[in-house]
Amino acid sequence: MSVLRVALLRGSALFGVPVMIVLGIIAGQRGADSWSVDWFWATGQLQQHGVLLVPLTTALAAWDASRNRRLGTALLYRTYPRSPLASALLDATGALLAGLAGWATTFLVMALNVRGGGHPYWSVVLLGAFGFIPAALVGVVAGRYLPRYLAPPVTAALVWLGLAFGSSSTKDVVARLSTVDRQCCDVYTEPVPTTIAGQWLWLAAIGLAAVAVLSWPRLPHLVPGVLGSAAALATALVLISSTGAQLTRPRPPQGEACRTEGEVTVCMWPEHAHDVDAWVAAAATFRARFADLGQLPTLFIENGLRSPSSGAVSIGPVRAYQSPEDLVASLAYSLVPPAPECAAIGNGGYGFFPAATTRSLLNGWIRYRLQATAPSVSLVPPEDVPALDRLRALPADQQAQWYHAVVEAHRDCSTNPPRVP
Amino acid sequence: MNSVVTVRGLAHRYGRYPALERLDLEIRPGVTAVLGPNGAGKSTLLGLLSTGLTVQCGQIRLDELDSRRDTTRYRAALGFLPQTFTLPTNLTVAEFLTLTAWHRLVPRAERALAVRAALEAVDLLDRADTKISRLSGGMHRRVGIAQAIVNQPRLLVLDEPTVGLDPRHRRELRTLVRTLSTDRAVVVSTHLTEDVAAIADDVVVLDEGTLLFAGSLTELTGGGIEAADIDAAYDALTMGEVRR
Repeated sequence: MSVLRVALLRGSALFGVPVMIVLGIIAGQRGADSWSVDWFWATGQLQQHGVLLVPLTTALAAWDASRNRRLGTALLYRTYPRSPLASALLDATGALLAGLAGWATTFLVMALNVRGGGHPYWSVVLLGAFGFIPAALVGVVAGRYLPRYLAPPVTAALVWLGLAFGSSSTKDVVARLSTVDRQCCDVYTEPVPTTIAGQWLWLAAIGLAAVAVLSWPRLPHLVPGVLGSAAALATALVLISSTGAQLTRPRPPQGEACRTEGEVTVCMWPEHAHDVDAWVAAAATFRARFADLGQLPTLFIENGLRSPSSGAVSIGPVRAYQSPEDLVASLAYSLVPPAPECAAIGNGGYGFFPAATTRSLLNGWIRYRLQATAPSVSLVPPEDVPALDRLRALPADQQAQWYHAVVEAHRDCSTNPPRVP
Repeated sequence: MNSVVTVRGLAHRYGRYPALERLDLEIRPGVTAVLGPNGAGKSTLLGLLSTGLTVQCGQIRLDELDSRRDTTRYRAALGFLPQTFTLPTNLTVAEFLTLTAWHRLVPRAERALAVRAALEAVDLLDRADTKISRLSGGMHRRVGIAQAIVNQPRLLVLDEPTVGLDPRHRRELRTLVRTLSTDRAVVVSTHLTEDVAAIADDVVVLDEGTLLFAGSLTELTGGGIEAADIDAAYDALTMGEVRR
């Protein structure tokens, strides 16, 4: 009879494993819009689900570790010759198993739903799995020292706050220390190895610190734990700082999947080659519908594939929820000119410029061109409805004239936009 | 007979409150009952013998093992039954004892035999695969004893083992404790003089942290071994009429 098996029977694994598997299934499907565009993108999505599973693992470990105090066996346990650290590690196995079962299920569900090619960034993917070890150890520490019934919820809440808010922090170092690498990665970005190595060491430092606490008061175990934790922490901070806490960097293109049909050329990353045909069809429809505007783009390329070239429209992988009409619409919105540089206020935002007042009308007009029968009231805010009605009533060539005047007004911060006749 | 446990100059305080004062004691093989009123220091003495409490002053030796210096080996030679604790009801008796044997450093190869021997000793072999939740209160207590002897300890410390048992189960447990004492020292804390009369070879009487008596049962009672004799001797000791 295996001691590990007995410990698992006694601990939270019996209910923890099935619950975490169910949560893993839910997490694996959530936010992926039923499938993932490629493995690079799935890598980041998988990290995001740790925000749910890791705190629960900590709570399970805290629950198991506080069992002796709940059942009045703490005194008996103190008389055992087996080291407290070994007992603690045995206590943590149920929670760890449950957490890893949840994570593995999430990974499996996502793997089944990855549509495009590519490969997982294993250094990031396995970082998520590795994170369950310090999480379980921290839970055991909490279960041993915090009030016995409060330890699980308090620890879970603190870990969740650290992961959720830490990963959303605008300070890159804080975001990296959360180890929730949800921004990693995309088809045109790849993880920075040094930063990821720092994250591994950071998690190791947390785990070793927990081991040191659990070893108290046995100095032969405690001292190496403290020293190891300090060394890992220092190295982690040095590594993360050395890259400016940068998580990703551009991924060098490794070929293109291109197709030209008529005047339209669509180029995508090889991993998204299966989307090229859909974009070619969408680009042809887009060009036909807006042919009256004169010269339209002929080159449609995916982000990061080539340096931006004049006139090329940026496209991306086709998502599960996107219909062919959605693709046409996304190309049509490329007709909305960017705000002039003189209006830029940083962080991608812009301040006032005269033509800004026409942007909602312009958007509404594009929507009208995509859905000719839609009533104006469903296309623009109420104050722009009369203007859109007048615009719709104009002949096509006058609508095109108005559009070109709007584009012209977007070139500076002084030109007034055209009035609708 | 040679002592199994030697206690020298043992003292213990809870903050400023002295719980035990300069205790010297020899514990021989057989059953040693620890008697005393509430607050006498019985639980403190058992806590120190079982290493649940850390020795602050003095020394406890189990054969050649010092409880502070050789803690791991001392604990490996120790069995302990706390007064109250909850058994893991979702495990079978054998599973629980296997886990305890691991905690008591019983080598893996010997674990199954050790569990079997403990079950045999408490007459629960036929319940090895029964969930603890399905056992009676008396059987729970026997499982408690089994976990305390699974490592074949030289010193067995039992804190109020008969409390809460009905008369029949109490008689059974006394017989069991008697049987277990044949090859080891058993220290039993109790406030029931019937228990002492039934099982004790030696008696330790404490009051307010001070040792009032340590010797054989017949020495305590002057030859009588009935509960009434012990009651009388105990009253005389704790009321200050006799000191030795």
